[in-house]
Amino acid sequence: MAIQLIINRELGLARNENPLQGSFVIEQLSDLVEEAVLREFEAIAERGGVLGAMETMYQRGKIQEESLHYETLKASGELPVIGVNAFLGKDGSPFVVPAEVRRSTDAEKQRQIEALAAFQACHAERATAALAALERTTIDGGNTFDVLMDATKVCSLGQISGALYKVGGRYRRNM
Amino acid sequence: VTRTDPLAAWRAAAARELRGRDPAALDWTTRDGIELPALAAEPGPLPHQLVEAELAEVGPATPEPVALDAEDLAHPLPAERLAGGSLVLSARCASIPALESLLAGLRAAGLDPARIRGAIECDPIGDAVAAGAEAPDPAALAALPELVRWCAAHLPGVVAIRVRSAPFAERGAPPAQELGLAAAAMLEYVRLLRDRRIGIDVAATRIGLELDVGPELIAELGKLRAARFVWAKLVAAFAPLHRSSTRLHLAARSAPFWFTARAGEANLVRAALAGFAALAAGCEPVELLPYDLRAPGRDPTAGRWLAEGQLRILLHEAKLGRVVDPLAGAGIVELATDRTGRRAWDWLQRVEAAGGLLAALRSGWLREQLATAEAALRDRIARHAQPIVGTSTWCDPDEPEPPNATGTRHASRVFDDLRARVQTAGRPAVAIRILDDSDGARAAAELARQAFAAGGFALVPPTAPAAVDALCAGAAPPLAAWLEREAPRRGSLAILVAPPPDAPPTDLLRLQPGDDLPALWNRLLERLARPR
Repeated sequence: MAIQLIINRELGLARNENPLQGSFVIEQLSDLVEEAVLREFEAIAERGGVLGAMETMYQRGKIQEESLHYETLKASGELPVIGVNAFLGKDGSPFVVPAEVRRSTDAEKQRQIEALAAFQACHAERATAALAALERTTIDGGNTFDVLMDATKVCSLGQISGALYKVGGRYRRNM
Repeated sequence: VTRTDPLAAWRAAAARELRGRDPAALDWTTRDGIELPALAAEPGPLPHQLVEAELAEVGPATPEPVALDAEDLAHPLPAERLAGGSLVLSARCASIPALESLLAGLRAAGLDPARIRGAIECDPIGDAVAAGAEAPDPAALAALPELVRWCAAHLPGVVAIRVRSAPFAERGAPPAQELGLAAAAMLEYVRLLRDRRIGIDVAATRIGLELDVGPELIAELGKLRAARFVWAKLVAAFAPLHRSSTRLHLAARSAPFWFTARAGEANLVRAALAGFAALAAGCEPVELLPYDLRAPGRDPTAGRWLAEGQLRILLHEAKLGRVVDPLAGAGIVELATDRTGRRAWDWLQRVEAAGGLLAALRSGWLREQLATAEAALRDRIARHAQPIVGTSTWCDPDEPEPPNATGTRHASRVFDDLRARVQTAGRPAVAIRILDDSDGARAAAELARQAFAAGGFALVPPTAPAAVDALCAGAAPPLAAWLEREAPRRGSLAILVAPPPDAPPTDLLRLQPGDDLPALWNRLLERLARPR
């Protein structure tokens, strides 16, 4: 909150609409990004749209390529991440570093499972009707969002996903 | 929208959004009184010579500076860092023997002195302004020509005189005035060197400028970018032989004047944004000060560590040093640059009319100008026209006095002093009373909460005993009823917060938006001290 307040109130950056508009480099970058996005749209369209491109693993391949590219840059130091692959002080951070990443305990996990079971038991009757409505609307090509709004009140995410898998099938990528 | 007449499209969108209000109502003025439009202006003609190319060029990352003091010169120099970086020598290095020692050290480290870039923080005029003296140290002034000649001969990449804007900024000068006065100091050095037969081409390349970057980012960007155009114009008046002589060695740092002791973590944001502005304006080197500068914590290295990390992230992750003048062409930035440059030039002319900066210093003219600026700034801060988050607004009333708070000249002083007085008075308890269910009453309550928190008063629930009752009402009748029935029964002092126009006439204090808060709370403390 303090960051927002300082930016808006002290530095006055909210006083001007789009203060970088007209900047040569920013305008050029905007154009470059726009062109790249359009090229990507065309590449996806050539493959039969998003679903068609997924069948040929186009998106997955692009993401893997980019990921490999950036990981290589990070490994070589060409893409510096301060304190991670560049400017690593021999003394480390003067601030307290967490000793471990916190994970939920078995008891917490069990409690969550029990809470889910209780939720499903409590709404069993209404859930059946809501899931049936969801399946029917999906098959009829109706507004699934509308029935989802009701279903989420009485069904768990797993139940909703299961219903949609049942009528729409489940995506499995080709290898 | 961005392709066809963008400004017209923005204006139309703003007019729709404002539902009848004129979009021009959103325009604002900087501390210098420079008017800036709220909607992005058209790029228009570029008024200064800084922007020559349409597209920014990609250059090397700005290296981090290595700061050395006279004592450091007795030890082996950090050759590795110096090889790729720049050098900042303290003013105590500004003697030929010390520089000879530096030269020997550079050669011993296997470095080519001709390739070393940097500056000596030598600025006798700035030192005199900072000390409140009527004239700079004559010996320091007299030593400058020899220093300049020596640097030109042995360390051609090192600036011998670096004028600091801080002495002017820390006395309240707004950005354009700060730049104009700093330029006037640079002009005095040019004249001094010319009188000692040092030509403008040598003199101009031995003088640099360090600007402090404070709040109002657009105005600060305008100041930083205008500095080059003001300097180029100034040097051009001396008819240099080489166009490169008009280039300015421009350094910048996050302004310590705007750092607060209270809510010190907020200084991290101030420093980061100052660093952004400085690097976007092509300053080199850039110094970001530690966030705990005014109230050092237990670990003295932590603040410095974070400041270095901030600069490295801006340089190496955000790659801000890789594009020359990335904001060139942006309508509002160009406008701010042009107007700030012109205003700074006006200030330079005013100083010239007063006989130059040295004469202005001796005659007291400069002191008068800075006193006026300081009073204006104090008024802006006290009335929240220039808010200081965590100190004058949006502050924690219960935040204890920061231990080890240092510094005498800082923007938040008026509120720090107020807090100290309220603390001495025992932090009187204040109950905010909302007397009716109206938007006006709720807005008044928020105003009261912010205002009393800024003073460090103890805010208590309406049911608790309080020394002060802050009365918030959207209409006059509930206010009149409370004053008639409740006020006599309570031993507290009442204050009307943003009362409606038809509020009952009383001699009670009134709090309105934009009030001089420290003055108002001083009057409140005086009334509380009187026997009732």
